[in-house]
Amino acid sequence: MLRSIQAECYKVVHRPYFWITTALCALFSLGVIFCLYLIKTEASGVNPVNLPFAVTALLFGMPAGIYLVILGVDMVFSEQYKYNTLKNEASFGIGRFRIYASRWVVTLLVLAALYLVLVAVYTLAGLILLGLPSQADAQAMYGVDVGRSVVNAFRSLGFYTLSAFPLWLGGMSLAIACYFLITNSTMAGFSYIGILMLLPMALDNLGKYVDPVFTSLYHLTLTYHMDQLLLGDLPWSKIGQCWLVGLSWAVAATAVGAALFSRKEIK
Amino acid sequence: MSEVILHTQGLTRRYGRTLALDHADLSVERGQIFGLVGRNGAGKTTLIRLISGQSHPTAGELTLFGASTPAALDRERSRTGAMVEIPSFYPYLTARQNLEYYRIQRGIPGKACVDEALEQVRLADTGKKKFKTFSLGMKQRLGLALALMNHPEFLLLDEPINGLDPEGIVEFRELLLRLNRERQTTILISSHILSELSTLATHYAFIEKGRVLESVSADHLREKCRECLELTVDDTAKAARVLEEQLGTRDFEVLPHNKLRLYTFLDQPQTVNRCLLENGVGLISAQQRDSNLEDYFLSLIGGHHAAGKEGF
Repeated sequence: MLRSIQAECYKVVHRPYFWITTALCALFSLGVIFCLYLIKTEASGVNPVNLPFAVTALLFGMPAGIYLVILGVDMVFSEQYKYNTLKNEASFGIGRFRIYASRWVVTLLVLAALYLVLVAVYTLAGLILLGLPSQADAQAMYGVDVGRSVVNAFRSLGFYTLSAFPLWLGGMSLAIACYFLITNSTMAGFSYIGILMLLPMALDNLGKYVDPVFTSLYHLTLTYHMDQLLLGDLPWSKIGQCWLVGLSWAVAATAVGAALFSRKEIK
Repeated sequence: MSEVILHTQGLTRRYGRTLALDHADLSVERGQIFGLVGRNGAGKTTLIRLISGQSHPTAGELTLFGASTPAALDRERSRTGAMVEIPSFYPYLTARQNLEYYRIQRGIPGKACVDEALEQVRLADTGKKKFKTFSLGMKQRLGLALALMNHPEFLLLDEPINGLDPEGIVEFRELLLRLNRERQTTILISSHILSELSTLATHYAFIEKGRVLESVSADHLREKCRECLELTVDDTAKAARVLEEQLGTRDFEVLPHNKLRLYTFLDQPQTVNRCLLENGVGLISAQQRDSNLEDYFLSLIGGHHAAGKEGF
């Protein structure tokens, strides 16, 4: 298993896709900070745009993460059926589960790397271009001193990440299942987005107009919990729910995906 | 008795209503070079894909190095090397990077095996050239390099010489013969180029419409392809009866299109002609000939069709 993971890592780091996507993520972070920097320089007197503000603003972009997991999956798995390379693994006796699991682990590693790059570049650029708030600004905006305002901003980011992580994991597992089971990578990508967007919408409406039981099902979707994260505080009970729902999706999608892939003909 | 490397019994693969492989029975022993002969769509690739684990049988049994359970088969497949259909690699990686990826994945220690495999197929100097820019011949060579990288005991090769230039074909043939001779590598190879196959194979299996029609050693096949008297008559059943009853021989074959091949009385064609005519068999033509692998295959599938039509 470890050998397959190592091999997948070797493949991904030799793929231009990985470096281009990483560079784009870094550029995107820089771009957002630069936009904030432009706002900052236009303001006069009061200076609300600073690092804690930028870190807090980052949270509002985080729900997109559940859609962006597809980048990592695509990077690791895309065009695998087009290139027909899976047959080289199957013919050497590498089990289907090992093939599946190695992609799962490496996608997780790739996404973790992308997240770290994104947050690190964002933070560094924020620190350089936006700087820390002045003591007066920190007191006026957050009611605490500078150090505490920075800690609080990263604390929010940490809690948000802690809650969103299992939901992202569920999304990633679902996307991997789509990529393994649907031969065309573009179709697999669209299927994932479709399941993520249309299923909750359908369940929500069915709950409203047909039977309330669909509302209960709607509350079990990843998108619902993702949307809930930005509403109000994040108590441990809410974080716990996210873990329960996210991990359930991850286990179910992986079990179904791996089971169906094990019977799939490799061409 | 030699060790049986591969044994299939009643191996069947069905795709919807299509029977791609129909109760195939095959046995390959260590050291053999086993040629699979069949037309396009006959079931050769399906058989190789079942052996290599790309596909699962609908019915029947597959034994590889004595193992037959799915987990044990997967384990034993690490002793094989396979090149099935067109070689497939990551287009954005070079030849060396592609092999390195599989070396890591297969847990083959040391990077020397990558260089050795590339040397063997003359791809050592491709440098930074990506796989996507390779010619078909180069792709075939890289496919072979991957199949050889782990020093397999059993090589599965599906149409391996497609796209190779004449020089490449000669090198490929010599490489296989050397592996077979020096390492006792057992080889299962399918090819449309029967003349090429006949320079390699020690055994043959003829496949048509998913069925293994015949499995025969090269020596036995040579015996079967020996010189004969080919007769065209108006009634083959009657002619066969006459040959058996009047000339006392059963050393003949009934072929489609009113033809018979007689392997005895080669120096007495007049005796045969007279006997047939005297017993009311219309003799249209008689000619002496010997056949090769191609003729034998064609007669076999032709005969099979005829037998099928006549309900034998």
